[in-house]
Amino acid sequence: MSLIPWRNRGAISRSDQPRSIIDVMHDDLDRMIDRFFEQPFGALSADTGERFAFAPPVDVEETDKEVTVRAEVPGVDPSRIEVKITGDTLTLSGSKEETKEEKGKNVHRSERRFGSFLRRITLPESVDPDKATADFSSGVLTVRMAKRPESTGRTIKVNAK
Amino acid sequence: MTACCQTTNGQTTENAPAREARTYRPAVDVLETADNLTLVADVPGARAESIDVRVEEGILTIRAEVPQRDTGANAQWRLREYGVGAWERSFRLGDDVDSSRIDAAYRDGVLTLTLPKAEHARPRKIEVRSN
Repeated sequence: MSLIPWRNRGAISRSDQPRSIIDVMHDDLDRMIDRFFEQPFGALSADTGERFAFAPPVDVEETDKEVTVRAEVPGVDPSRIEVKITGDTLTLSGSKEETKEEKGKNVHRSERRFGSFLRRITLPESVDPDKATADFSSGVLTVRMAKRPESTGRTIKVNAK
Repeated sequence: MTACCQTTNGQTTENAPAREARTYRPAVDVLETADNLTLVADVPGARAESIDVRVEEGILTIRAEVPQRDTGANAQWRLREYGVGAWERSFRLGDDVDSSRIDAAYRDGVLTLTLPKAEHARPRKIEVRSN
């Protein structure tokens, strides 16, 4: 059967922003390099040494009131995602399973990754785990965490003996 | 095919908006059954209505715009890995695919295309007659 990747972008070029295949390859490469420096050894769990199939890419955004983390987890069953906040670390883990339709078929091309995933993110600010929410939509997990109220500072009295 | 050579003009890179103009290549799986080819592509963050699937001159192109995320006021980025822009990927279809009956579904960030095989490409069981 023929379904062959086609790279001649000229044939489908859009009038507004013509882009060459080289530009597109650069974008893909940039992304790969970004990920490499972010996690040069993949998602290797520090405590168990267990290898994970992949680490989802994330965005971390901070406002004065909250920290928002978004992770790309397309095709992952939301009920199989675990979101955990421990101290200043947010841990996203779970697994991406092949659907029934994908099992045991004649596979021509297999680029998508399946299996367990793990991503640990050090949060830029201390957050209140009790005021965190996690939503899944269109393959994107969004975790919103309220920052702890800014500590006003406290003067410690020196006890003289 | 003259268009292929016009795409590289110096202006494109200079005027390209920083992040929005990026085009990513979705990871795809292609599977075959007796009657269909199935193409599965990861396109997280898209909306069904912003996904464009078309066949032109035997080239199947999937394209999905991922909308800019609504960031809070004064939001500051600490990490940006998850791409915003467009996903795009093209495949050349053989004449064994019936391009008039392609079905597309989008769920949980995954686009699934079902491409029925053309009648002549389907497996056919030949009855053996006995006299």
